[in-house]
Amino acid sequence: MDYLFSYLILASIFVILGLSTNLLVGVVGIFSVSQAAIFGVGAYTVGYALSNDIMGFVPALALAAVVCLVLNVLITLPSLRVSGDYFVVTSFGIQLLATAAFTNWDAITGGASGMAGIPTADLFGLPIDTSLKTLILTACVACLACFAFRLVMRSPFGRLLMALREDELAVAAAGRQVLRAKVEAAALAGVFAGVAGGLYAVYLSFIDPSTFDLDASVLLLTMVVLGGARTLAGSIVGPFVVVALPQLLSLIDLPTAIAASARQGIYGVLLVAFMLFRPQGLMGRKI
Amino acid sequence: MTLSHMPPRYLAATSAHFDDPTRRLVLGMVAGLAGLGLAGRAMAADGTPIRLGGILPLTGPDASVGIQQQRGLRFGVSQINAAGGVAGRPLDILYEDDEGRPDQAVISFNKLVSLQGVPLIFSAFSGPTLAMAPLATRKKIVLVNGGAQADRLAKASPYLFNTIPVAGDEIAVLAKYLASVGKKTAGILYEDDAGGTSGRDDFVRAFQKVGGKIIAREPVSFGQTDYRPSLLKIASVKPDVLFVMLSDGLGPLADQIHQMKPAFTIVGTSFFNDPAALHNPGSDGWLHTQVQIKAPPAVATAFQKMFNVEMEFWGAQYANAVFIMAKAIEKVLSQGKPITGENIHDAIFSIQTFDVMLPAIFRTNTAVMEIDIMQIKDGHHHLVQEFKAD
Amino acid sequence: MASDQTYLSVKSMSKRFGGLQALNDCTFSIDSGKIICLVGPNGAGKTTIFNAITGFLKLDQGSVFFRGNGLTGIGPQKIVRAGIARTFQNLRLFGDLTALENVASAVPNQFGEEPLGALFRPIHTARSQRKTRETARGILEEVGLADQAEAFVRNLSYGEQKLLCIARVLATGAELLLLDEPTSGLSGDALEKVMVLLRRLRDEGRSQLVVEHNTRVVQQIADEVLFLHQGHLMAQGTPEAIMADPKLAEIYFGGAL
Repeated sequence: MDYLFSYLILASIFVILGLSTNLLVGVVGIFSVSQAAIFGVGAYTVGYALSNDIMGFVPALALAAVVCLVLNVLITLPSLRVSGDYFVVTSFGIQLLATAAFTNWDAITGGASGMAGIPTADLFGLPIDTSLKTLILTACVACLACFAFRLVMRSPFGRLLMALREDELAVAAAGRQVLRAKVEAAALAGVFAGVAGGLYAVYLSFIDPSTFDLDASVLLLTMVVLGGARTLAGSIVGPFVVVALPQLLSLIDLPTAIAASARQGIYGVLLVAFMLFRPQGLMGRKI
Repeated sequence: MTLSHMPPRYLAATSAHFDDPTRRLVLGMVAGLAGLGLAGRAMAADGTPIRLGGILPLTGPDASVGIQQQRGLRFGVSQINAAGGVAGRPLDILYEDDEGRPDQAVISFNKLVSLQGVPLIFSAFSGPTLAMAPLATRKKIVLVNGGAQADRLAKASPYLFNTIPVAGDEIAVLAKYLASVGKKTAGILYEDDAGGTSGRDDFVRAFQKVGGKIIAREPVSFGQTDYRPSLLKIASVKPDVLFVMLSDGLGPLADQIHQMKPAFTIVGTSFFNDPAALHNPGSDGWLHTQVQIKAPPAVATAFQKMFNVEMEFWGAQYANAVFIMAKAIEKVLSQGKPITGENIHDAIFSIQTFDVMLPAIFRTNTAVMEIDIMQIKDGHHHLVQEFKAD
Repeated sequence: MASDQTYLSVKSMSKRFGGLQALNDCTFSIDSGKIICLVGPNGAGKTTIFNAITGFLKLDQGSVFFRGNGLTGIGPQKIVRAGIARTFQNLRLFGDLTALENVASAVPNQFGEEPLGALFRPIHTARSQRKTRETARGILEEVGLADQAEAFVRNLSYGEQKLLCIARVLATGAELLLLDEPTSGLSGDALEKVMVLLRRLRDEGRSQLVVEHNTRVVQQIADEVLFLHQGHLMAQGTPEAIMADPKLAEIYFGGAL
C-alpha cells in the first residue's frame, strides 16, 4: 500500500505544480524554465520554518505561498520586455541563479547536502504522520487546486489569459492591461508552486538543490506538454504518467546488463514518438 | 593487499551463466511462485532466493556512476552465488532506478519494501539515501550506502550503514600527513555538490587544525571536464598542495595537469583510485588517502571477464558491500532467525569486524577501514604510509 | 488649444523610424458621425497614424486631441476607454478562441477578469459572464455572424474573419472606430456586406476613420477623404473632389513625385 500511496502523494504534488506551470507556460505562453526554482523556494521556506520550529505547518505553507507569489511575479516581469524565445534565456539564468542560491546559502538551505529531517506536517495539532494521512492531505489540496484552475479557466480572467498568449497587441487594443494580467497569472502560478513545494518538503522530509534544478524544470515542462497544455485534464494526467514512467519502465523485463541504458533509450524514444504522433499531448489542445 | 583478505570460495566465480537472461527469468519465476514478499522471510534453507533491493541512478545525469555501482552489486552477487549462495540460498537483487532523484527513491523504496518485502536495500548518492533514511528507520529496513561520503550520512538513521568511511575520516588522515611533511598552504578544487562541499569543509577544518592555511577554493560542476581556468587561478596563489574532491573527471584533470605542470602537489582521497587518472602520466606524484579498496588481482580479473571493463572504485565498493551484507545475513540464518532488517542490523553489530575482500569494522553505522597514504608513480599506487583504523 | 467642437484633431505629428520619416508634420481634424477614408500610396503613413492615435506608438513630436482632451502619452487601454478603438490590417484575432469569445474579450467592465473575483466570487463571475456573452452574441448578430458564434476563428472564412474584427472593435463600445483596411482581400458578396455594415454603423452614430485602398469602395462609403503622402496631409475633401484632382491621381496611381 505504501508504494501506491507514495506514488499517489508525489503525483498529486506534481499535479499542483503542473497546474502552476500549465497556467504560466500553457495558458499565458510565458515560456519559463525556472518553475522548479519557485517550487524549491516553497519547499525550503516550509522546510526551514518547520525545522527551526518557527511556526506550524499551516502558517508555513501560507508563508511559502506568499513568498512564491512575490518571487514568481518578480521573475516573470522580464517577460513583459523580452518575449518568447528570449525569455527562455532569461528564465534559464534565473534557474541557475536559484540553484546557486540553494547550493551556497548554507545557513538557510543546508547547502549542497540539503536539508534533512524536516518534521512532518500537522493540521492545527493533528499530526499528518502516516502515508494515508499525507495522501489525504495532498489529494485534498490537489483537488482544491484543480477546482481553482477550472474556475479560472472558465472565467473572463481565463479567457483574457488565453487571448494574451495569442496576441498581446490585440489584448491591449481591446482595452486590457497586459502587464496587470501577466502579473496576476504569475502570482497565481507562484501560489500553486509554493504550496506544492511545501507539501513536497514535509512528505519527503529531505530536500536538496538537485531536486529543484534545471532538470526538474524541464521534467515539469515534460509533464505539462505530455499531459496536454492548457487543459485541466492534461495537468492531471501528465504528472501521473511522468512520475510513473520510471516505475513502468522497470516492469519491462530486460537483462540487467542492458536494462539501464535500454530504459534510458526507451524513455527518450517514447517522448519523441509521443510528440510526433500526439503533439497536443494526451489530453490537450494543440499549442 | 593479499589474497588472504578474500575467502577462497569467492574466487571460484565464473560469471557467464549469470549473464544469461533466460536463467534470470526462470529464477524470477521460481521466486514468484514461491510467493511474492514471503521469500525474504522464509527460514528454511530450501534454495529460495534471498531478495534484496538496489536503488540506483540507472538513468539520468548520475547514471554513469550508478551503472558502475550496479556492476559492483551484480559482481558481488555472482561471486556469492557461484560459491553456493548464503547458507545454500542464492542472493538476488531487485534493481530500481531512482534517476538520482530523492522522490523517485522514496517511491522505489516503498515498492521494494511493501510489494517485494525486501529487508535490505543498497543505495547510492547522498540525496536519495537521506530521503530514504527516515523510512528505513520507521520500517526497520537496512539501507546500505556503499558510495556516498557526505558526513551527514553517518547519523541519518540507525538502519543506514555506510560501508565506506565518510570523507571526514580520510581527510583527517590526509591533513595529518600533509602537516607531517611540511605542507603549509593549500588550494581546494571541489565538485559543487553534496559530496564535494562536504569534503571541502572537512578539509578546511582538518587542515586548519594541523596549522595549515587554505588560500584558494574553486568549485566546479559535476560532469565538467575543463578545469584549466580554475587551475590557473589556483596556480596564481602558489599553494603547496591542491586538494581535489571530484567524483568524476580525474582523467581530464590529469591531462590538464600534465600540460600545465604546476608547482603544487595534487592530493585527494580514495576517489583517486580511478583507472582513467592512474593511466595518465599527468597523475604522476599525486598523493592520496586510500581506504583499502583495491580488489585482489584474481577478483579484479574475474570482474573484468564479466563486464569487459576494469574494476574501478565503485565496482569494488559495491561488490564489497554485498560481501559484508552476505556475512550478516548468513549469521541471521545461522541463528535460525528470519531475515528481517532488524535482525540484519543486529547481526552487523554483533559481527562488527568483517574480514571480507576489503576488511571493514562497524563500531558505529559507518565502517572503519584501514586508511593508507598512497602516491601514484608510473601508473601504480605506492604505499607511502599506513594509518591504522580510527 | 483645440476647441470643444473639434471631434478628433491631430497636430504636427512627426515620427521617424531610422532613416524613414514615416510622419512629417501631419495635421488634420475630423468631425463626428462620418466615415472618413484615409488614402494614399503605400508608405504614406496611414497605419502609423493609427498606431499614434491609439497609443501603440510614441510620437517624436505632435499631439492628438479627442473631444478636446489630449491623448498624447496615454496607453492603449485608456484610449479605448476614452472611446477610440482600432482593428489591425493583419486581423490579430485570437485563433484558438471561438468567434463569440473573441468578441467577449473586448466587452468592457466584466466581473471576474482578475483572479480574486474569479476564484472567490464564482457565482457573480458566472452571472457577469452570461451577460457578457449575451452582449457579444448581440454584436455578432449585428455583423451577421450569429450562426458562427461557437466556431473557432481558424475555421472561419476570410470574409467572416474580417467581419469578426469589426465585431470585436464594436464590443469595446468605442464611439470612434479606426478600421485598418476592413475590405482588403474581399470581393463580391463579402465586400458588399462589409460596406453595408460600415454605412449602417455610421447611421447608428459610430464615427469611422478607415484606411482604404480600393477607390471604388472609397467612393461608395466615404463622406470625406484625407489624402496622405510621405507622412504629410496633401488634401482633404469630398471623395469626388479628391478623385478628380489629376495631381493626386498621379501620386496615387503613378507613384511619381
